[in-house]
Amino acid sequence: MFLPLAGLALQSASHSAYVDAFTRAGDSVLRSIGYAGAGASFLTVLGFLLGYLVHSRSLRLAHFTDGWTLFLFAVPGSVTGIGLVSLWNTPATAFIYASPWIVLFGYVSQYAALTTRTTVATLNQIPRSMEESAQVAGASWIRRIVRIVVPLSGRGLLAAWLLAYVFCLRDLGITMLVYPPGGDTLPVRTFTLMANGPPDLVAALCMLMVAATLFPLFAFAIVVRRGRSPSVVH
Amino acid sequence: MSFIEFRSVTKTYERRPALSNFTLHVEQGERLVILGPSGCGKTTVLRLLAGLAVPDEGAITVADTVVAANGRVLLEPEKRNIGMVFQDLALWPHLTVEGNLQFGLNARSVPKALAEERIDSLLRLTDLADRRQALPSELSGGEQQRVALARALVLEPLILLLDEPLSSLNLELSVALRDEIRRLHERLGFTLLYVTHGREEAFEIGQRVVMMENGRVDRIGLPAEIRKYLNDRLESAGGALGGDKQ
Repeated sequence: MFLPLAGLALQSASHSAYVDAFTRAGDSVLRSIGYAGAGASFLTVLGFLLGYLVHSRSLRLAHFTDGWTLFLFAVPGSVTGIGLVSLWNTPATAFIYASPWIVLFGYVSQYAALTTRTTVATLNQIPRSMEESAQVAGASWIRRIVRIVVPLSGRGLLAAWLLAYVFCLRDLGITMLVYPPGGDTLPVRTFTLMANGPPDLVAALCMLMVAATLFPLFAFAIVVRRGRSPSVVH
Repeated sequence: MSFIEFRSVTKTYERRPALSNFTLHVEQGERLVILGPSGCGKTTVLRLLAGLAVPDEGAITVADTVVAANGRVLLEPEKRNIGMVFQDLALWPHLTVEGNLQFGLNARSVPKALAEERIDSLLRLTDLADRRQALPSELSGGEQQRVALARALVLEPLILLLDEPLSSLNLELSVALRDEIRRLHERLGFTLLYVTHGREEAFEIGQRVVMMENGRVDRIGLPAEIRKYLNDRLESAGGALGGDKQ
């Protein structure tokens, strides 16, 4: 696992390779981070809502949706991508198909299971009485969610966001098929340049990809280390 | 008509009956203790009254209003004006003592000045005034118990439900808090339903005691009557055991 990364690091170990990488793919790097950040945020919100429904057994439909998201996660990205193309590539929906939204739709449909399952696992750690006591105190559902459940799920939701971010960032199968004109991501650009680009440039792009993945993970670790963790009192 | 009525209530959890044809009448301002072994349905009674569970059959009435009946909640828990102290206390760990008390007041849109007044008063009453900014994890067991009590009482509920609130405390602290609960009840006049499996606790706190067994009311009476009933039962069981030996 370490050797391929070490090989890439060695191959890209020149100033010119990184200058070239930023010149030829700087916009893709930023887009990748932007798409992944937005996708992860949508997925975290959606996953929280679905996870909450599954956890609280509020709707029978929630279990069906839970199973469906797992199925979509198991389906290859290329299949999801082709499905999205056939659904949205029409004159009436071109405004979506030709925009970054189509990439986000792809991420949400493929990776919702990640954030849903993480949320369910997180909510299972919180005693049900936490929310029930807020309900008896007179709090509406929205207030209970915003003031009690979300703060108590903070770390779990952050972990769900990171997981979704990493999966969105590395996605190739869906993005390759649906990215809008001039809107490719770093994995797509790397894949394209691999065919006929200089090896040190491709290696530098790969290292940028690694950096973009590791940066939020380190940020998360720092937040967790510094954060005061309120423990549930029994 | 009584202030609280359970009329032939049945509740089943995953095919296991928790309450069977359960009927109970509670008068306003009464201190009623529900006594029974684990799994006899005591907590279910409180959860049904709070609206956190729904009766499969039968009806529950509070102050002449049917709040739940035959599988339907007719008055949402957040609108029942009931205070509840859970067995695990359920203090919100990310909120300070003040935050725990303030939450319900904000939820019920109590004006800020009045809310402040009520919080001050309750913190003084429960001897927590100097712990106002502490997080629950920074409090002792007894202090946590008092915060849970203050949090329920700050909303000035018509009914207070206490689910084995002293079960995790040592004897000394438990006795002190029993006195405090009685004192608060006498001062504030709410209707109290108190669940416990401890006999002495039940006899000290209750004005009436309900004994439950297998999801039904086994006996209702004054503490002295229930004490006598239990002693007689114990003696007859001892006698039967003695008879067997002979």
